[in-house]
Amino acid sequence: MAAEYYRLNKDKVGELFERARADYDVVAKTRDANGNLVYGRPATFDDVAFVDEQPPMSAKAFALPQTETLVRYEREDEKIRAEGPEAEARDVLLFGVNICDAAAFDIIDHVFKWDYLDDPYLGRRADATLFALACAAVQQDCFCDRISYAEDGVDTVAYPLEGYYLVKVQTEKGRKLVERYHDLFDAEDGDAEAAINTFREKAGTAKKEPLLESARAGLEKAFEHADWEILASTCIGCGICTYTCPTCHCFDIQDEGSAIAGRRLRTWDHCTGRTFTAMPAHQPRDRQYKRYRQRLLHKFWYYPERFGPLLCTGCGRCITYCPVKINIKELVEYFGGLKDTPPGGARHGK
Amino acid sequence: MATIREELQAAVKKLFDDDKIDYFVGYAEDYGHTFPAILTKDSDPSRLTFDRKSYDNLANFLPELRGSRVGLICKQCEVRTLNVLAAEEQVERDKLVVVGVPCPAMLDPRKLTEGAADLDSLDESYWQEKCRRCLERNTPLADVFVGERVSTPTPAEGWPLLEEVEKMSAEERLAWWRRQMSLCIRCYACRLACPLCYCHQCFVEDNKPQWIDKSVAPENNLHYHIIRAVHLAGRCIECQECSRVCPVGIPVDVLNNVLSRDFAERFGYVSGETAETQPALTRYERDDKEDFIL
Amino acid sequence: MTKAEKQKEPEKAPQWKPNIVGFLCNWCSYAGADLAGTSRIPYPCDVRIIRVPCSGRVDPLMILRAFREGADGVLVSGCHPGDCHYIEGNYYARRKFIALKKLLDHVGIDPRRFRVSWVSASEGRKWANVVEAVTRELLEVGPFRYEEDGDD
Repeated sequence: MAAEYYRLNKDKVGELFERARADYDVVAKTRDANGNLVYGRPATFDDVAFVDEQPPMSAKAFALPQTETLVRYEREDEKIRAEGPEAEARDVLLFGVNICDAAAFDIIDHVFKWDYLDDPYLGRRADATLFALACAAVQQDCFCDRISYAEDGVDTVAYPLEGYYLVKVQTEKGRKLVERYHDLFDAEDGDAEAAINTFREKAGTAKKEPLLESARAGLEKAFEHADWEILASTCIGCGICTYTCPTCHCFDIQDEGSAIAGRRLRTWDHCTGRTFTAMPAHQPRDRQYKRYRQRLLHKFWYYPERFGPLLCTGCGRCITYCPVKINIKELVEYFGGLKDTPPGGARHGK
Repeated sequence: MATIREELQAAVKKLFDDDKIDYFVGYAEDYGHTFPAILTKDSDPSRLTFDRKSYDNLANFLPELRGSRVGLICKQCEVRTLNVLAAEEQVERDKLVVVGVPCPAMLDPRKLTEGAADLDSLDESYWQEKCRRCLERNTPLADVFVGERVSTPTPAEGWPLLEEVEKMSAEERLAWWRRQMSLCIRCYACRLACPLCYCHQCFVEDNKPQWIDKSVAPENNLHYHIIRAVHLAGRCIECQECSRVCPVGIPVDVLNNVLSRDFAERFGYVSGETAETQPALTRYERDDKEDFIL
Repeated sequence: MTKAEKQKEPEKAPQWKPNIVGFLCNWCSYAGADLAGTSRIPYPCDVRIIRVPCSGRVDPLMILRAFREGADGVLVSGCHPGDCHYIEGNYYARRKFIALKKLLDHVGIDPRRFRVSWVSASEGRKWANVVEAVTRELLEVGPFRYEEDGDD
């Protein structure tokens, strides 16, 4: 559908949230026990943090939970009862989600509906409506200005302009949301796209050349580059970058329980870990730098080769939360030939 | 007068020129962060630095470089780590060149707000907790020392966060830890950032027997963290890297501190004080206090 | 008692019995438990015994796993200090248990859920007393669950 534009008065946001809670399972940013920002289910608008600040964890868990039961089984005498995952009944509204989190779903949809239709994921995805909030300023390590990911899959985006939110509606689901609460929205009569462009310029989120897509030609030649070993060897192999990433989607399948009762479940897994794929076979990448290289090349070479978009929205979490601050953007630029100096000055020199 | 940065870069260049080392492990500053970097002689040392954001415990990178001659920047944290590793025969000291530095006390990244003022001038309230307890700011064991020696303030007593948790009742503590553990995403960064967690295979990775359920749930996460602390009992040198790296901000080092404090009282024991100090669980006394045994 | 009051009174459930997992060393405590049996000493039968070569074999992981599998309490028993079949296994074990005990106490798990005892092969009576004490304590503490009411 062609994009539509509306105005949402800033003091109507709370009302929108409260009323949406009657119709949707509303997920929004809130604070956890330690005061950190998280996506959660705040009960009132007072607990909602309607801000552009990025929570450490992305919003992907609402389509791909960290732990998900695939089947439960129970044995009674000679009979075995097995039950599939319970369907979740309610439509989810991701309220005030960052654009980099919202746009990720469209990217990873490709893999979940590729050769095998992943029903649990696709079911939750089909039930989810995205109401994104555009950032008024770039955040610490993010680089969405360097990636041309498609925003048009995000149902609605709210741009905080002077006095009101300019709401861009891009899908049928988005239109349904606006229609439901139409009395809260006003028509936008000005040149909305121009206003959005101005906003983006000011926020620093307007696209800047060269886009990281252009590094791919260089990356395709860089697999054997000697400097991987030295630049990616500081990787400690934890799962922070992949677990906080909105687009990383690998999982492991595990069984819990006994011969009498138990369940089969899937949990997030990470290619940077030393036991990744150890369950079906073995971890083929014997050194840590190879595992890091796999993550980077999967995002910037293999995935776009197969599906089109980069497996990255430039949210920058994998830099901010990396214990050793490995910078994926810098490494893509260096190995992709967009930049001559390696980050930190480390070279192998072989 | 040369800055510590210049002195350090010159010292590293000399180590490579004299063919003393194959790799140098230090901190580099780039794109707004200070981070660990592994350098070879063909690398550009001009980004090497040592500042108040040189957080990482660099001893963590030694296993990856085993067999090579390595130059390593050592703060007090690394020195204590090396002592434990030496006691456990995990370090090749003759292949190691310890580059000593005067440690200015590291800042707590969670207390730093964006665009903070001059980092050098930030006072004790911005320090990491461990730095208040530091025993010696100038690297003992140093083969090469760069920068000017500083005085070490009297180490602070007490464990503020641990003591705060201990003020709660048992039920409150269980609820508190349960809340903390509900945040855990089991990325295992606390284990992997720890220079003393060097096992090739960890109990969390075992399937048969499956000690810890793979599903992410508060009780499973708590069991993981308890066992992690048991495995570091009498070995943890309180560098607090486990807590610093946690992406969701769980103060996991509190569990380690429980044992560090108890072992200090019970066995008169500071882990990593010297290379001869044997970790507490690898030895025993016939009359160890057994107040809980029936 | 009025009828209404009677209705409020919960139905009498069959008395709850704790699940106790006992890790017993092969050389002393297991033989001690055997002796208690052959001597016809009556004691509560709520301990499921797992025979291990030495109390030093008992890894804190086993204890936590037992809790995870539904144990309400864990009892580890081995030779008295100085009597270890392997000379020093129980000395090392003692230090390990000090660490685990400290941590369990700290995170708020009732200390009565994890007990250690020294029972020799000749102490059938002591074994019966230990089991009786542990069972009585666990009856007071109740079933082990991490979940707060209404949670999850």
